[in-house]
Amino acid sequence: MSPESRPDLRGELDRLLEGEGARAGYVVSDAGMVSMWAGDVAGVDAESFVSLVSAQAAAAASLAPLVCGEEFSEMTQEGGRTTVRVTGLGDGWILASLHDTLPGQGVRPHPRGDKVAALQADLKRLVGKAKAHETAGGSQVTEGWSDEAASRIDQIFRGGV
Amino acid sequence: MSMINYASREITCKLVYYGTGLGGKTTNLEHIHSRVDPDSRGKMISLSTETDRTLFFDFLPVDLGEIRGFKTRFQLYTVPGQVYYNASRKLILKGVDGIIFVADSQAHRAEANVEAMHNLYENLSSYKIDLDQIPFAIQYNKRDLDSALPLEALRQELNPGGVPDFEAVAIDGTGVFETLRAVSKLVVKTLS
Repeated sequence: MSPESRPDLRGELDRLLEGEGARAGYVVSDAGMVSMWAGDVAGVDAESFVSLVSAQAAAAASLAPLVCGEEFSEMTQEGGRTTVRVTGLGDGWILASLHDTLPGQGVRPHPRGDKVAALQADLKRLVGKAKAHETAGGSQVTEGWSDEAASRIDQIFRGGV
Repeated sequence: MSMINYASREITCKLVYYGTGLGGKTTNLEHIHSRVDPDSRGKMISLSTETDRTLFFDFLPVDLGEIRGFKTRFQLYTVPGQVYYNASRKLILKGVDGIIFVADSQAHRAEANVEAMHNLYENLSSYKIDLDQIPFAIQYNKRDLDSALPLEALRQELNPGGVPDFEAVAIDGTGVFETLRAVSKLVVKTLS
């Protein structure tokens, strides 16, 4: 159940992630929808990961004004082998990137320095491109889609084992 | 709103189970999880306390497969029922496509149901969403209990607008899929 990612945008995201020393990353809306992903996501339950990360980011966004009066630009959760870094991109989008935790050193710092502004700007541009592609097909699905979806709902949600 | 990704040809819809504490929202999701073909659903995530009260949300992704070239998914969420988790309830409503309000039919929960319904209207209004404008259904749960109010009394209190409503006993699965099917179909209808 891994979401798809447009190959050309994935290539761009791949390069950005590589520059950040990340092995993979998901660009996600704060409602928990994946826009694109790149990198080595083998073994990651994408839907669960993304739903938890987006909820966590949304909670942190509400939490930040209570304690520091501004938004958190980044959150890091360090594990023994993997560190998750959540970077706010503005307009309700976040990047959740996965990094290898280096023994005794934690996660590698941003190669561009402490400021995440440059990464955010690059990712914002990428999200803009993705959004343009997402709406490029028009505002509606193809004719007959709803009827077929309704019949699929009857099959999948029939209630039998 | 549903995310339609024309580039990757994917559609993702978000359904939220809302309602008062201990009303049966998580039980609905657990039943769905146990009855949907494992090939069509992901893992159910429950962020709950030690006493199994929902702390943040429950989450269950369901894959409808490819429909006319679009990979179609439903993401089912519950919110925590307890009022002091209102900030979390509000967050979960972000981007919602359809809502199932799970009411507890017991007489002593009547006031709590009404409060939760008001709270739903209030939280949606913060996202500028009008409940009358999005797919919505009410499920009257725990119909098997002696203390359950008559259906008409519940309807009068909670459903003056006459949205689709269903009787349920979520613990044995009665009414669970009927409610889910109804709201899911309303959601896909909004996309055409």
